[in-house]
Amino acid sequence: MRGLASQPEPAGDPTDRVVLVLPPRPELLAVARLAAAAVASQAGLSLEEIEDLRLAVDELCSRFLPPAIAAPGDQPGGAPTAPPLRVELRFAPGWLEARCRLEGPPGSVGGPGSRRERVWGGEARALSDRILDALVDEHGADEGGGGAWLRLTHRSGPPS
Amino acid sequence: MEVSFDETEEGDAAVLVVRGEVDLSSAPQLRQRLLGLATGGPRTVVVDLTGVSFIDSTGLGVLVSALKRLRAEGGDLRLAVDRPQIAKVLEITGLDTVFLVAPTVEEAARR
Repeated sequence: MRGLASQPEPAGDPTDRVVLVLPPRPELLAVARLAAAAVASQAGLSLEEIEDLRLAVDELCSRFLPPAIAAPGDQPGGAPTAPPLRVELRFAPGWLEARCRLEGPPGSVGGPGSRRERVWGGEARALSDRILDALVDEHGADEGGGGAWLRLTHRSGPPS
Repeated sequence: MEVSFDETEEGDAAVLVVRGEVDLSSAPQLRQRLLGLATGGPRTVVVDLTGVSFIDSTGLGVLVSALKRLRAEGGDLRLAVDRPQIAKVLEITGLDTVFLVAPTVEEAARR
């Protein structure tokens, strides 16, 4: 993960914000991607950057979602129920921040990467880290505001 | 967007044509299709991604798993990719050096 303290936010408070609260179902990842693309467009980012952010936000949100198949160690009866996924997108001209977390209490089932890695192994996580490293300026975890958040920021132009 | 699959042949290679978006939701279907093609002895499988508009790390992980399984049995898994965004994801993850990647199914099967 890249450090989160090195890139300042744009001057002034970027008050434009879009908030999604999604049932934690993998098939709804497309909604988060769609919102990310729309917000990136509103931020005036290039088509390539919009595509990059679609993927980056998908990677961020995927870490919280239970895969649609059983993981080793799951109890009989299927995957455990996870709380809703909250996605927040803040933007200003040439700048976008995405944050996501589960709305349940800290430590609830389905935290970042838990079941996902039991299903897919560490390979997908390593690939996801490489994708985020390449596509955004910063990404990582934050504490506070109701639990653990994953966050990424992107500023127009090539990643620093 | 839904994902859809077709299976064809190109020479001696089995071809899995994928259309749509491959993510956490659709990756299990891709894995099942590849498991089906990977059984029955060593063979070359070409995954046609020219109709795929989006793939994330979960989809890539499925392709890597299938590649390992096929190569362990003396086979191979190759990719047909012509969209810049898909090629970019392969490049930034380093998978463009792991898979044989060609712009068409015919080239992927022939090499």
